Amino acid sequence: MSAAAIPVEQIKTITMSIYRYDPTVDEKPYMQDLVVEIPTDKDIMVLDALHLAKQQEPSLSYRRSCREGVCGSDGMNINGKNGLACVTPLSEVLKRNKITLRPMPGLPVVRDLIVDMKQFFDQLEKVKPYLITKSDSPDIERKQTPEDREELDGLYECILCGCCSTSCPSFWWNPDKFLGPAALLQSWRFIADTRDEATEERLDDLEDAFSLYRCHGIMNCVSVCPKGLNPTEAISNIRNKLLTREKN
Amino acid sequence: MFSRLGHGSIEFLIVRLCAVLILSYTLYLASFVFLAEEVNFNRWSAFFENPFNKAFTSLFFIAFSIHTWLGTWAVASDYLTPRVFGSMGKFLYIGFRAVVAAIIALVLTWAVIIIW
Repeated sequence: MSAAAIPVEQIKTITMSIYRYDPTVDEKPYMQDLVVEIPTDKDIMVLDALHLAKQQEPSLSYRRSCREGVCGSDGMNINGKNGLACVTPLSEVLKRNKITLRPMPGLPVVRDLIVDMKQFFDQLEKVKPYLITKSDSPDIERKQTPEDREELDGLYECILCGCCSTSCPSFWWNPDKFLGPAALLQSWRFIADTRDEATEERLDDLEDAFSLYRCHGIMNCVSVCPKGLNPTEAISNIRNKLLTREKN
Repeated sequence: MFSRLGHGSIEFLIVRLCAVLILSYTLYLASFVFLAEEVNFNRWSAFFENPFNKAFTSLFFIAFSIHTWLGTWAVASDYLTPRVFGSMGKFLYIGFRAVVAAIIALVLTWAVIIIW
């Protein structure tokens, strides 16, 4: 999209205050204000505005891919709240014609709005986010009743953008010990799956004082999830399961 | 580190059980204060002469101590860490835990002396 092709009367200027940091050049991060011309005849997304900003400042770096809230690449901190740039209408976040963009907090910055997601995916890996079975494989497939399948609604939709975990103070302070809301949502997704046969092992792995119990239920994760999911409820479900299960 | 009682579930339950005890005692004591026609030294002394009240008060202080110990551990293991304070983090953590332990020991000892 190019602002140059839009009639002048349909253009307004906004200020985008963007976190900039290139570790190969900059001694420390700084905020750069870019005045960007945006069209007024339609409500563009924050990602579109970033593209316009990048035309001015080609060195500006951010992740993006599908630009429709499916790939989870462009999670960032928009005016202090995490969200996906591609599905956040600019009109909803502009304050006095200004928007502030920072990388998702709590993870190391690779460059500008790009963070190193290794810690996030390391924690996801710990919950073994795949079906574990012990019984012999059936001839065709492992079946579920429609009711059992419904239990997974609100869980399987997670796109792993990281908005929830990086808005969680417990994850900021202990990203190596507390699994974080995204990983715990996936943990519950497989504990709740009637086809999974490793529930006890999964629960055993969450019995320590940090992995799950470091959640204090402040619900930042619910507040920021771009898919409208509820990791706090999933964590609560796991906790109930832990507290009520009978030891073998 | 110092507060692990086995695993997270036990700690979770203990903290909440202690919270219920603390709340129950607070309401019990408040009801005595607000329902009594007059709270003077004699009534206050008589209240604490009652064996049930002595036991309940002791239980309150025990619950308070455990709740404080586990609660401040959670706070310290968030903020007083090498991740936040570098090499000083470990010393700050141990120092803070030592201070909390000393305060709890002092409060408990004092409570036992006063109540019994």
